[in-house]
Formats: sequence, C-alpha cells, structure tokens
Amino acid sequence: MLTGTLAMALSDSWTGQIAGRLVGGAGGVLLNVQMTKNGRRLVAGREIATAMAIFRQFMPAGVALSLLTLPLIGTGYGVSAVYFVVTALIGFGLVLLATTYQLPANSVTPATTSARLDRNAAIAVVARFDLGLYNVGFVIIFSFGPSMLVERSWSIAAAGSIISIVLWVTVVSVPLGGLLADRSGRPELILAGGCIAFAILMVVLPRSTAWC
Amino acid sequence: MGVFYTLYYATMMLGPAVGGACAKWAGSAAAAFDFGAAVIVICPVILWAFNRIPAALPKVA
Repeated sequence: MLTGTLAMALSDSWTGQIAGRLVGGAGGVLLNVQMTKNGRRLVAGREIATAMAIFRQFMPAGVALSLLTLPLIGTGYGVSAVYFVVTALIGFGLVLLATTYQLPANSVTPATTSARLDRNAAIAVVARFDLGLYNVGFVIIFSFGPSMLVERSWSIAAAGSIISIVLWVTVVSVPLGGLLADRSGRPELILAGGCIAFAILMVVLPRSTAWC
Repeated sequence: MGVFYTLYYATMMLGPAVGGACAKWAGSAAAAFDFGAAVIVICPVILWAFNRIPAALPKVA
C-alpha cells in the first residue's frame, strides 16, 4: 500500500498511476483479508455481529472522511499532495498496527485437510457472494446516485454531497444493526428484513418526486 | 479467506459494470438503482441457501 501510493505520488505517467494503483490495491486486499481473519479471532465467542459491523464500517467512514478532506488538499496543493497525505496515513496505520495489535494468547490456527478446505471453500463462496451482492447494491447508490441527481438538474457538487450522506448514515446504522442482531438473537431475521427494506427504498428513491 | 475475498472482489468489480450497462440500456441512472435493489433482494435468499449447505454437504470424518 505504501509503495503503490508513493509511486502514484511520484509518477506523472498513466502507466505509473495504474501500476501504483495495482500494487497499492493488492496490499489493501491482503490487509483486508488478514484484518478480517484476525478480527474474527479477537472477538470469537462474543458479540461477533456487532464487532464485525463496527470493523466493516471503518472503511466507508474512511471513504466519507476522504471525500470531505482530500478534494480540499488536492485543490489547494495538487494531486501529488493527496497521495503523500494518503501515504502518511497508511504509514501511521501500519505503525499503529505493529505497536498495538496482539492476537489473543489462546488463539490457534486450525489445521486444514484438503477435504475440509473443499467443504469450507464451498461455504465461503456462498457467504462471500452474498456479501458481495449486498455491497454491489450499496456501491450502486454512491456510483449512480450523483448521476441520477445530475439528470434531474442538480449540480455535480450538490449531488455528490447529498449522496455522501449515505456513507455517514451507515457509519451508525450498520453497527446498530449488528448490535440489534446480537441482542435480538435473530440475526438472520434482522439481515433479511434490512435487505428487503433497503431494496424497497432503492426502488422508491429514483421514482420519488422529492428529488426534482 | 482467499476464496472468500476473490469472489467478493470479483462480484464488486462486475456488479457496478452491470449496473452501468443497465443505466446505459435504459437511458437513465435510475435503472442502476433497480439493478441494485434486485441484487439486495437476492441476499436473504442466498443466506437461506448458505444455512442449508452444512446439511447438504457430505460429513467429513
């Protein structure tokens, strides 16, 4: 992540930007995989839905914070300054991780056989496909929401600001949903109800005249 | 975790592209919202299927 972002800060070429993005993205994915795995170990046996909901919401919180701050830095000091700030943040995060993070003492890595891998892989495929589909729906809002509002004569800046509210709302709503799932003892009902309500609102939103 | 995340990112890569194709086909970004609503409705169905996988798979000694 550090190398990729630094490459993007120092390179003016399109190839350099793409290469930096590729390397930085690969690092981000590896960090995401490892953090999810370690996060689950840390909260094993406790309110895991609440913990994972909070853990996952730091990503959109970071995106929302970036949407507010990075354009100001870019406008004032140029696009390279944006990458240097992001590089510094990544470095700070890695130092924090190295100095404060510790796996629980009783944490063990279960041995896997090829048969178990097949079984677990099948379960993982379905689980991740589910989360992937949910995120597709979520991403559609801030990918196409601004375009939809611009079609209705909103300015790009105003449309982007309004749609970014979605990210801020989820910073609170998703951990609350996780807490509700843990406390109610019926996480699947909460999940299914939340998805159906979310889908209904997505169908209603473009048809609402309140945006015109 | 590798399989888990590979599928996640593959879905995340293809989903917005399909949403964009829907918007282009319909001539309005609102169509992407309908696509998003459709994939979110599928999530509880997949959860239902997910809960039935351990019973459906052969037991490993």
